[in-house]
Amino acid sequence: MKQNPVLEVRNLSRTFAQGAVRAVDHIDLDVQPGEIISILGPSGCGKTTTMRIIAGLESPTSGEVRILGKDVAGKPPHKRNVGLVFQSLAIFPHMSVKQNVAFGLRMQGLDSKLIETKVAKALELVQLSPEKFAERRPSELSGGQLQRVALARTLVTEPALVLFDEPMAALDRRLRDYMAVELRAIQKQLGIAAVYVTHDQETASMMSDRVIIMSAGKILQAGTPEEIYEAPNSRFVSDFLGDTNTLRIARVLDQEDGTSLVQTDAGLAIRVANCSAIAEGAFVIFRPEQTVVHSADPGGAFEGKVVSSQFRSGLYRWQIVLPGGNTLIAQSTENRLASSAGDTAWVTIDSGKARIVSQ
Amino acid sequence: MTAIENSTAPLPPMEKDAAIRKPPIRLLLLPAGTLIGLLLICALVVLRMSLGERNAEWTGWSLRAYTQLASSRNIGIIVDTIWMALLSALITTLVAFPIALFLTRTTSAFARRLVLIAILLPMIISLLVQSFGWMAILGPNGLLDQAISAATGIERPFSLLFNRTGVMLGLVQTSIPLAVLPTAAALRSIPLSLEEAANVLGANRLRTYRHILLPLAWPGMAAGAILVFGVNTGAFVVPLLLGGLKVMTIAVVIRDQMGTFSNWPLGAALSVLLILLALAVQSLNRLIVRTNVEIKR
Repeated sequence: MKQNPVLEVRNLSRTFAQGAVRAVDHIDLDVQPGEIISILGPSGCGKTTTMRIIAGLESPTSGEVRILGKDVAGKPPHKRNVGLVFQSLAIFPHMSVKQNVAFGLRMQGLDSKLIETKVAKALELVQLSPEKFAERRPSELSGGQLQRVALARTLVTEPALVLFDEPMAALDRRLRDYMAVELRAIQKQLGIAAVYVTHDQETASMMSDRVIIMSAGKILQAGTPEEIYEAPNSRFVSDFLGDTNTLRIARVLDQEDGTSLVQTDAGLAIRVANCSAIAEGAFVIFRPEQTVVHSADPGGAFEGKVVSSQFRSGLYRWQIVLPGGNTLIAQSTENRLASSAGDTAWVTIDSGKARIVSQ
Repeated sequence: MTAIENSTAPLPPMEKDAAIRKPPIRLLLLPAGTLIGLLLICALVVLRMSLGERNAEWTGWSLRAYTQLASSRNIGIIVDTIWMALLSALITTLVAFPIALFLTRTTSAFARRLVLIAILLPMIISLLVQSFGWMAILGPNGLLDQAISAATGIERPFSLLFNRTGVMLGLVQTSIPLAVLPTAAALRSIPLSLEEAANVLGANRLRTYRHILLPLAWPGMAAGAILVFGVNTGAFVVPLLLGGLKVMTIAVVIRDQMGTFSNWPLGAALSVLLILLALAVQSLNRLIVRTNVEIKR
């Protein structure tokens, strides 16, 4: 039996400046119980506006938001049963950690004994020992600890849906990854439904069951992080999720059994599996790790010149210029080229992984 | 206060081979320091005179002025002055809060500038002019009188001039900028996200004000209230013109004693009292700022 979604957004739009600016443009999305979805996009794509409309901090121009099946139009934020972890964290500076976490419970009018117990539990959940941290002032905490307080403060009220507005943007990469893993674990443990808004695709991929890519107020693609990474439906999505080799197709040379041989405008002939119709002006795209570089001609490879090479976090990376002028990025976990800039290298492309997109 | 204290603290020892020698920072205080030094000398002169004899302010020694100061009439005036300053501080702070909130929250730059100019006008226009303005409105046959008479047909239904109400109106109106500016500064430093967070956590508008906005704006409001209180304990022009010698304040009595009655020692003793009041208020200010120091990040 399929459960009812926690959040349903239907045909949601928000325009500014008398309709001249479409911040959110006819968006649909669902969040199922226990599911965390990420809304991923560059700044100004409408993801934060979407989230603020869900929280009730802004009102939509048109469309519908349903939480646990109920239309929440016109309901103020404090009656929506939604939690929000702010980008700035918005920890109340004049209150202790305990008072911060207790705030939502106090607003619910709970009995002070119960509040005490719940606050201690929430602090333990986010791995802040209540004995050590309850009485501390926000000014005495580190960025990561403030993060945990913000999380505890939101989770303790047990909202139906938790919204995250890039709360980890200010943390450094390592702490952010660590917190993402931990947040994911807590979310799974409590079975909360959540929406995570971010421009950081790595965090989004680590955290989410599903990812929604937004640009200019519209949803470009939705799916699991893997699906979207492996099968982006546009250059924009592919670029946004990581480095992409993008080559414009000049014409189709040959086509049979779903495999096409296409020629790029720089004259390269590339074989692409699993594609049928190829529109005019389409592109072939593939990722750096979907190429293999060779120091000697393996046969059927593109010959090019190495422009530069880098080593980072266990990955080798090369920029290789092909004779027609296209530059390819290639990547490998092995140092496959003993060469440096200016040397000749040969590149093959995994035709099973390369894709054709129309825009 | 703190700036002066810091300047007298010993500077860290400078390394001998330091390439660039910084000019001593206390030099910056020289111009203002000279003036404050002169003011201090004035205060000492006043203190000396308060301990002198009438007509022998520089040679005689006496506590007569202070016993005169403790007369029941003078005590009444002192209590009155402090009470009016206190009340005006309270009213002004309450009136200032919504104005300050509007200034920080309005999205219209034009409206903000307009209100700001209106707020600052009392600081720019002479107190004398403002008081005469009030007199023209509140006085016998003034604008208010005429309007009420025209509307109701009753001649002189009530008077707001030459009584406490009139003085209070004047004191509040002239000190609005003193309360609005620090309150607005405090409100401006409160991120909107704190209010939104409280809102999402279940606080309605009223509770958000009570638990978030007011506690965080409190240091600014207190600073404004103390400023208003301090300035209004020494109020002279407003009570003189709007009170018409029916509402006496310490400053008005000082002028009477030193001018009309040539009783310089009593005038000086009252002045010493005003100075002490100002110092007391200042230390109150420091107490409040200190207890709220953790709010500032």
